[in-house]
Amino acid sequence: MAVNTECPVCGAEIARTNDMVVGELLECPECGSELEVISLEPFEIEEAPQEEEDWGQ
Amino acid sequence: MAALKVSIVGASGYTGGELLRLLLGHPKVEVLQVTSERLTGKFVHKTHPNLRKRTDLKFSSAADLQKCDIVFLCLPHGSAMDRIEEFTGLADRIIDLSADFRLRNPDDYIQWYDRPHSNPAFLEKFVYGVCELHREEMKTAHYVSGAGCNATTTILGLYPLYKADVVEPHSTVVEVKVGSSEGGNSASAGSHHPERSGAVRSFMPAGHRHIAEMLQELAFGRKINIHFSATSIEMVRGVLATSHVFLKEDLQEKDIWKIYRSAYGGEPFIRIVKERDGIFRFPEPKILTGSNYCDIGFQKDERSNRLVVISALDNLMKGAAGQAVQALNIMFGFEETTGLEFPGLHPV
Repeated sequence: MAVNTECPVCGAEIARTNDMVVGELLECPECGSELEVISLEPFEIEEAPQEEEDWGQ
Repeated sequence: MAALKVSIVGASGYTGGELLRLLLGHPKVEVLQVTSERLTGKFVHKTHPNLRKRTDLKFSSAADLQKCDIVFLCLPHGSAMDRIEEFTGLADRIIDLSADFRLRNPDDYIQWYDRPHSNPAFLEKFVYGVCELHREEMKTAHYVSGAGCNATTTILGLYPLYKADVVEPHSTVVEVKVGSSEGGNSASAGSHHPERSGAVRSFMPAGHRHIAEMLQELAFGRKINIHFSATSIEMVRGVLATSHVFLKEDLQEKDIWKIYRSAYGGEPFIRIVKERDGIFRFPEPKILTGSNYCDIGFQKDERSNRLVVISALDNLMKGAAGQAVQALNIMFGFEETTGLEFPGLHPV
């Protein structure tokens, strides 16, 4: 049975796949955020740490 | 089914040329006639050079128009309303790309266009042309009015928020940056190259006519106001609208995502563009050139209730000719993306 959770950034549905492992990085198909698998049972993800870009002076 | 026979009245301008380009590539359509009084008898590729070897059509006079399945009107504002009965006799379906049938209330023409409408009985017969808002009405419509380019950009950006009634109704501020093709193909002192090149020109800080369409389409029965300004920049095609809306309650970006997903999740030409990194983090008109997409992004100001919505499109495509072809597809039951598959260029 498919186990899904929600992208913590945009709320899009994220499906767990059979070969997923804890620590794996994946990309939300809707908002493009990089997500990290925290736990498989239960299936939990959170936003992966990002390097800030400097766009201003 | 035999190909639809279509004609374009007023095909010498930029919108008419763009429409002709699309219709020549549309698999369900045969372009019968295109008109220009000034250029009657001349090859269309002399005016629209990108169409050389795509068609051997010559411009006709409107007086010589034959009956067809649908006629597109690309006339200057104020012409179609005076001549509409001339065209209803030619075709069962009409798509008018001017402003003449966009507004439902005849009094709005006096307020925003400085003249009374000459054929107000026709206003209620036209469906406003933003397909995402009026798709069901278009399926049975005989007459569709193409929406203004700046209005389309702004309305598509803000529609989900106004529909969900999550924004303060009188506080929205919109600034659009537009390309020179919005001004049409008639030269003026302001379009003279030494004057226009490199310009960042506030050409309508207040009072733009497209505001009337925004108020009409976003009110949902409420009293609203939209404070709109337009600036022309160094760009040929494109509109970028930056809309500042103020949320009634403390919604988070995830909530905003859900509102947009709910409104546009199934839309073929709306894309939510909101990336954390990379070059194209928010919508940018440059990569939409020639495409029928409207890209929409947003960012919440964490220090206030302000939400900034960014929307972009090609004014000659989703803002005019592409939107009209999308409406044609809906009216005749074709796949909505037919003839509009071009995804744009990158790099460009």
